[in-house]
Amino acid sequence: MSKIVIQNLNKLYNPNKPNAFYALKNINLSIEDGQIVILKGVSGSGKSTLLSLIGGLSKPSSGEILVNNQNIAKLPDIMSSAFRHQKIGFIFQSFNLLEGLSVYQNILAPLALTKLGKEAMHEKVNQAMQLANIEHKKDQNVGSLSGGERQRCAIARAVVMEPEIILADEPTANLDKENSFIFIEILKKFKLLHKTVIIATHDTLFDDLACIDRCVQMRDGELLE
Amino acid sequence: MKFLAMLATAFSLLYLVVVVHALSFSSEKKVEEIDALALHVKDTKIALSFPTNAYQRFVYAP
Amino acid sequence: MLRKNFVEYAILLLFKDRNDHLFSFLIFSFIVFILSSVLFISDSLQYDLIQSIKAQPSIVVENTRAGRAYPMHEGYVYDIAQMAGVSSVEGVVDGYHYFAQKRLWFHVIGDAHLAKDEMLIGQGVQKAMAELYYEDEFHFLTEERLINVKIDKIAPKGTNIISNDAIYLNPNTARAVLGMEMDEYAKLYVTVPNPNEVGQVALKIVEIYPSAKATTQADAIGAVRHVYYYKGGIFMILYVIALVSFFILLKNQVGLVYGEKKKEIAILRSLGFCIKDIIALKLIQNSVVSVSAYLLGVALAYVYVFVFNAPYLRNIFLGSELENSISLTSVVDFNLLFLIFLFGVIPFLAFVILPAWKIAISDMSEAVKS
Repeated sequence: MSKIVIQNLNKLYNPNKPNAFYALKNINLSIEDGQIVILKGVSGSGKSTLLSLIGGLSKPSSGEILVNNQNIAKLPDIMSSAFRHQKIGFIFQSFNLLEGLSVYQNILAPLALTKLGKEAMHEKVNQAMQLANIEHKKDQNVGSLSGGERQRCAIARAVVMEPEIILADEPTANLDKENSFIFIEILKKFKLLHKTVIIATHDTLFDDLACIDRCVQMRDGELLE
Repeated sequence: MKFLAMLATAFSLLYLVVVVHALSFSSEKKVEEIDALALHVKDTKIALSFPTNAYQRFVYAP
Repeated sequence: MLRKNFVEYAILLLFKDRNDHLFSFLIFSFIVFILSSVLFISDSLQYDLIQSIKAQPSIVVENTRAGRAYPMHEGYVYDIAQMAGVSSVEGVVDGYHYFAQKRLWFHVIGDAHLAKDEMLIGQGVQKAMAELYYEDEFHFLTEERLINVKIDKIAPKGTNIISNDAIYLNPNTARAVLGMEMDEYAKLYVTVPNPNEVGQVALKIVEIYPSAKATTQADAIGAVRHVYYYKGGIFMILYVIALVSFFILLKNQVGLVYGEKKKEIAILRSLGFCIKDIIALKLIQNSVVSVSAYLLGVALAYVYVFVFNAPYLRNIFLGSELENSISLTSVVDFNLLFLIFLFGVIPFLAFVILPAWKIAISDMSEAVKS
């Protein structure tokens, strides 16, 4: 059974208006458990939109998104949020950290919704920081971090709940070469942990990586496979 | 939670002071004194010392 | 939803934006402090005044001529005493003496219980006299002569609300000071045993003496219950200050949700916070701020009014020409305090939670990309 199954997925923006357009058109895609999949395409091809829909950040206009055989496209807000909280780790292009808080406090955010005790939460945050190699900056305010450090903080936050699926939207867009390679090392750790990872990118750095299982091309909201 | 606990404690202490003051205020003695005077003078008026009536009308109904 | 971890994280985020929340906290405390202080002092003064009108006569008659107070002679007493329903009429000497050296008016009241050379003065009068070294006796300077009276007794501090500017003298001495004749009275106290007849008697008095004013006991009690000029004056200024401050506060509150904060909501949503969680978060944060501000405002108002006896504000209510060291009775109207809470805290919360809800229900995918 596939981890993620997308069937006849469409996303129409501004419906019933003169500037209505299809960001996604009739997408059909299956992703197996533990696979690392790259969504390739230029800006505006629909990669980020597809990630948003898989992550439950928005709802499709039509079609189904089955994760572990559950259609997440039709879930009410409480269940969709719970799904996002427990199953998805999102790494955004602009990192989306909570400014004014420290690295530790940012990583703690998803744990605020749990009933874990203080020690258990501390353990989870430490593990996430170790994986992302950011523990040496744990008490530093995220505003004073470099681009690469901010991304590693975002990665730690994305994995602290030990999600099954990690979605990364243009993870290396704001990084230099050195930090991009650091990201790839972390990607290899995800592989070892058997996480299902979907990366939306147009960075050629991912082209010939051994850890990548599949590359899916997108253009104008459609899959080219 | 520590912050909320500290806040609750601080306000509890503040209101304890307020309640203790309110309970210890001897209003009976004051009422007795006013009663004693009012019995002699009957039609009492509030003792105001405004420079003009206009000032007085600023607070009190004419 | 109200799990310990969640509440702690809500407080963490509150501290992250502490400057904004501190501003809201201070403004709201100020508004509550102002409203509560005025409420406390006005209620306290009114409470004491209500105590003082327990022996209010059935009818008080005062005469006027050309719009000014004018004395009444024995004929008035006789005519009114003849009316059906009237059991007794008592004439009273009452007036104001101008203390030129300090440019103050003293309220001179005739008290038949005092002997010819006895004088009881209020504490404000005593302080004013003492400043000019009138400590044992006082000289009343009238048109005709100088009247020396010994200062016997000082009215107790508890009666300052009615006695502060008063000088109580034997009625004949009072007449001499006020330049009234022996058979003249400033007021008449009319006793009508049957309360149902009071209104009729008052009408009859005014029929006979059209220039006289007949104030019934009910009118006098009503005047004390509605003693404040709520439609204007200090209360109007107070409403305006509170309203303007409140609008500044509400603007700040709305600002807590837009701009950067909009993205914060989107980030939290993307991490798994549902709409209810966002509302709960904002509710927790703003409840902490608003309830603490309210409690602080009320407590500070209590301390200001009842512990320190409301310096400056007291002068607005009592005048500052004569120093009044009144001790305000601790009177707390819980109904009005609850109303202040209701009309303060609810809009305070609503102006954050409603925009937060609106943002939380919107499509977060665009917000997280910006």
